[in-house]
Amino acid sequence: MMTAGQDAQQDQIRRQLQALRPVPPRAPKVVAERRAAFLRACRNATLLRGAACARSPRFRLAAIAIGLALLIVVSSGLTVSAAQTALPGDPLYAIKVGAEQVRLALTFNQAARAERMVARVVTRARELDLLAFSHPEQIRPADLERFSEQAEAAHSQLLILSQTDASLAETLLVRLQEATSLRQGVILGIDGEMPAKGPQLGEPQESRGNQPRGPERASGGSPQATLPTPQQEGAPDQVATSAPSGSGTNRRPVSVSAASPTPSGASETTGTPHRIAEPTLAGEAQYGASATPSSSGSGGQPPKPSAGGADSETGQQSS
Amino acid sequence: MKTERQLLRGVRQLSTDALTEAYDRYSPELYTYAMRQLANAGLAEDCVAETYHRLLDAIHRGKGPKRYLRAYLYRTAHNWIMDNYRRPQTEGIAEVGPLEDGDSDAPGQGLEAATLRKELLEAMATLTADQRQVLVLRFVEEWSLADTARAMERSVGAVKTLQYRAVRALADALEHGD
Repeated sequence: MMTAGQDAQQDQIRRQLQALRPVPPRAPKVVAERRAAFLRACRNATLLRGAACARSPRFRLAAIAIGLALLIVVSSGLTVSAAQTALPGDPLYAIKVGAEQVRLALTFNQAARAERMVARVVTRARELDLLAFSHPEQIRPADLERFSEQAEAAHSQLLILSQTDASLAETLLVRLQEATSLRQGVILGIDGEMPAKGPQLGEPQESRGNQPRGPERASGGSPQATLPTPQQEGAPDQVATSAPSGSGTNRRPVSVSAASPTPSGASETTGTPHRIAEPTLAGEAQYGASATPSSSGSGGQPPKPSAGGADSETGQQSS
Repeated sequence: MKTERQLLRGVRQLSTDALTEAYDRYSPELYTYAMRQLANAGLAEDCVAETYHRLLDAIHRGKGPKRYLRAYLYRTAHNWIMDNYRRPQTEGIAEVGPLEDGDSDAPGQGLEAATLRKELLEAMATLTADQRQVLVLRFVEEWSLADTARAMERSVGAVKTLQYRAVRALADALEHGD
């Protein structure tokens, strides 16, 4: 709030500043020249803006193309995601399998490849198991062949991995064995009785005739169940601690130190395929240096090796 | 005649008609505004030309006025004046012929008026650029507080405070000049 004195001062200044109002007139020629110069600048600016607008349709097309590409990528990702729960025979199952192949093709690390391949086999086993429980008629020979091929490929990869990371190879082999055991039970369920209940890991082994579903079936089954046998080594009476508890007393993981002579003198048999044998690790395999190849034979065990020397029923070493 | 908003819309679209109208409408008062502070016709014309070229450049770059064209032009002109302000050449003011002024009763004619203008310009030269601007806009151009605030990008309260200080400073300068 201004005082009276301040108001008076302001009024005086206001009146004095009126003296600045009069301004000499502008020179008409200068006015015209300046105006013309400005209009030229306006036309140039308009032309530049027009050129920019002429380019924009191309930019719009490019933006549309990029947007479509992004839409395809995103929708593909959503489709792949939706396909993860697909089972053989489902419309999206081919996408699921294709996506697995792509992921595997883009995996160059040997350990990662082995993990992916074993995981793929596990997935196949669970798919077959689910189908066997709900729609066994939907299982086709091609599905079983795919499972066999992928299990073989995984086993081959574990052979490669064992040369650099034996410990991981052994761990993955156990997982692979579990997967093949699972599928073994599925095959038996398909060929024999209808499954009484869903897959149960860890159930005790029972006779073949009245076996519940699960991975603990006796070995054998349909010819379609034939798989390359992951070689097992170790003391005959030693139970692999990493194996499922219900997988049978004779389940033995493969020792990657199979090449070394065993205390009993048993040596690694030759002619046994799919054997993770060499090279020898720095320490002996945790399951002993016994190089006795044996198959599980019993329920839940991986299919028996094709070579002889092993008791397919008891998994006992027969030398 | 278009409203300021309509004119601004056309200007932002670089419409030749709108730009021409904006030049014809505001360039005379911009010249007057610059002249009142610079007291030099050449500089005042340069100020006007540069103000409109800066407007074109800003719009072309996607900037420029969004709501008020007139305030933007005055602000741009003021910035140019601040960059190019020189102490007014007041020696020849008394010899200037009849001056243009809408109010014939205003103290703008005659030698006495010329002397007053000279003193005012010299006194104004001692003020800051913002003080000069607020005095010219408020008391010479007779803008409202709101328009002045918009042109100066200040609040109304800030303009009042600036105006008060500018008045005191000019009064002191005129008193010491006597």
